[in-house]
Amino acid sequence: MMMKFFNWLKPKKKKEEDVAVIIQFLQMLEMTDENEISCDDVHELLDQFVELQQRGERVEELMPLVKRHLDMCRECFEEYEALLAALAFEKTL
Amino acid sequence: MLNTRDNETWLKDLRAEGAQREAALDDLHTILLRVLPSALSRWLPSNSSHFETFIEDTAQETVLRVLDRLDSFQGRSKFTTWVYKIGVNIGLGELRLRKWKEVSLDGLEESNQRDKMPSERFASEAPSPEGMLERKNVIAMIQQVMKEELTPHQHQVMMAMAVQGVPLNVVAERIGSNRNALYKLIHDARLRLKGRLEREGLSPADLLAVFGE
Repeated sequence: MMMKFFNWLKPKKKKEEDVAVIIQFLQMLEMTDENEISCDDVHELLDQFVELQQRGERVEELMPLVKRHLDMCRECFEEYEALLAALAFEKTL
Repeated sequence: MLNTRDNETWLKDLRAEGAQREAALDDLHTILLRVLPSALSRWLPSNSSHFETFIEDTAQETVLRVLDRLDSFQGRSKFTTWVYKIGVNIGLGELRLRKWKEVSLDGLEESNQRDKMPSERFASEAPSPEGMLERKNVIAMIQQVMKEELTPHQHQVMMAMAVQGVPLNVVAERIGSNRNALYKLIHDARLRLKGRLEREGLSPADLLAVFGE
């Protein structure tokens, strides 16, 4: 498995795609911090985060750990996007 | 307009007995049936044959989980926002499991399908021959660092989740773990790799610069 992964990482047929993977990997490392919160912690705070954001508050300052996690975690980011969509629709009811 | 209750009234009605509780449950279920399609249609198109059943199942499961966790609601948001949060967590979790149901994690390195990270950007075009060589060296160095720093388990999870985009809850289900534990595992792996790069006198930003980022 490990060697397959390394082989897969090596530029071959799809060089641009492989480079994009490396870039994504390095971006993850760049954003990595000792102090990160878990998916459960983010789930706990997500409703509050989204409502603050909708009120125009500076959520990146008020809840920086949630913001950082959302930048790093695809699943939590999708839940954030879906929650935004839910609230946008609710306003139309 | 179904959502005329304030937070306190939602809690009071859902904790009541008889008709008062039934009415609140019906209203909550109806609200979810209206809102969840808009929240989740990006991940499951509304013209899908499974859409209505999926929304109904998600709404029902959401109501059950809301009742189960009612005492944990602290009123830091509108009650319905808290409910939607639970609903999208259930709905997206189920959609991820369905999407990846037939995919073997061992075969992912052959796949070209990769979900993008929220912050993902792409490389600048056409490096010089010297630039190409530098990139090749960076890739080889990263491979070496990963080989030396990570456990086989960290490798496997990182490959599946962070590189190929398999959702955490899907990996967790396959290996008998949970999303939180896997996030911590990946976090530990990222810290080890970042620390190693720092000891080598490198930063991710330095290496990204090689790729024009």
